[in-house]
Amino acid sequence: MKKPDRRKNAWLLRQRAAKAKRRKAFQCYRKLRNRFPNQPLLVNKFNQEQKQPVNRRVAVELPERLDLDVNYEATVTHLTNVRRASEKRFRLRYLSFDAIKYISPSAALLLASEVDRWNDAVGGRLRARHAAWDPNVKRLLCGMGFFELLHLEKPAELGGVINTTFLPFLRGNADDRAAGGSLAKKLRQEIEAVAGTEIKKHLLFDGLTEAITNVSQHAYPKAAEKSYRPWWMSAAYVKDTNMVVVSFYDHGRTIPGTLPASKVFERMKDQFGLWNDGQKIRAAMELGRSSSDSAGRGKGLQNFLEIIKAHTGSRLRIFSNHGQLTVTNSEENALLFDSGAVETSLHGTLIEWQFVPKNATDAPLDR
Amino acid sequence: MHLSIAKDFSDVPWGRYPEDGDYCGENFRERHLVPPLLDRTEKVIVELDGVEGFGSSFLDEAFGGMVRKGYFTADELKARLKVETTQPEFQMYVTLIWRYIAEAKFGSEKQLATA
Repeated sequence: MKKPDRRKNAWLLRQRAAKAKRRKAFQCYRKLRNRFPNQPLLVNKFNQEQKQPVNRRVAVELPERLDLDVNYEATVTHLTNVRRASEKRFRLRYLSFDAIKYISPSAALLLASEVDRWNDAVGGRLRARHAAWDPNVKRLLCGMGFFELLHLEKPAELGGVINTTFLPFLRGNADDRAAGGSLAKKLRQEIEAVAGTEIKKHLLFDGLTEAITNVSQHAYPKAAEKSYRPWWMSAAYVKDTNMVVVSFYDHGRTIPGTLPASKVFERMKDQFGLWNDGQKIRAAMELGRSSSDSAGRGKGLQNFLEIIKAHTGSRLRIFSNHGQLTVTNSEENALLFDSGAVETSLHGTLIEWQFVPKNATDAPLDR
Repeated sequence: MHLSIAKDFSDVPWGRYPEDGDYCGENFRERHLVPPLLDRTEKVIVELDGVEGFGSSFLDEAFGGMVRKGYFTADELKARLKVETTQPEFQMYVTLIWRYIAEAKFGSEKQLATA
């Protein structure tokens, strides 16, 4: 019989103990965060003094399919690993894109945001050998601005034949008071240039600027005013189907995390875990629901629906914390709502609009 | 008096408070909308044409905010304010503005803005 390796056993025990400690600390943090949603329990200040990385390196190998629609759990789990590296200021030994065969526009934005955040928190050069990347993925990521993000030199020629175009992602900060509207306009102009058609620009502008306003008003704690309060947005155009995909993402406290339980039975349901995050996102879409006590609030999330109402066959998808909400505008121009819970938290809010510009309708809109 | 939001303020108005952005509803209300409404006896005509769009935060704070802050009642605004557009897709904003004015509770936000 093989003698047990005592050193290995001891190492395993230490690993298990450390993992249990981390889990307990995280549970404790979540408990406190739920109890005191407005208190700054942990504020990540990404200033120069804190930019010194700790002497630990992690490696992240991204999965074959980065896609929230069909591979949500694996996609989010891998992205969370990058987020942890940022939060703990670990150096990324490498971030491997080699296995990726497909990346959806929204997953690409999520990945860009995590790498961007890591750049801010830790900095330095990431090891990424793009020679081994799938040519189609390389073309898409190049379009979105990944080479600049990873401090890589752009290849002279890009292979791959693909009918999807990713537009460069745009980054804003809630403290940058001039940027929001201008960036929303810039994105719209870029979409129209690549799609070769006009879109209902006012409805897209309304949705994007309300998303930015929500970041400024609700997503990050007020105490973190001088810290890191970023958001990202991007768009993609699929030539085959003429589909435009617009994505907006922030790393804030999420919609379920800031939604007040306005009715007694909702508070009770929440207490007993019967009110999941998907249902909370749907509740937030109701008029008059806001984390602010001020009058006239709670209209913003309705703006997300306007561009969906104006295009048949379109879709709005929101992932926030442990919930998701999908609103589809059917061929009969009726809105279908579907909400649910997801196991792994997104640690932020992603809003994704999908619409075909030529399917625009003249049906009257109502907010 | 004629007031064009695109020409006199911004073609990308958005946000509710100054902390959201410089071209927010509160700034528009305090700097461009309330002064002529207080000073003049003639109607103030607000033109919506030429902007990218309007989020409800901007519209509610700019127009509904006048009632909530206690500057004017909804009836006073009906008499003194005219909102117009030549863009058919912007008609929905005209409807929304008057709805926000009608829904706002007079004087519900007592402190006057500092913008």
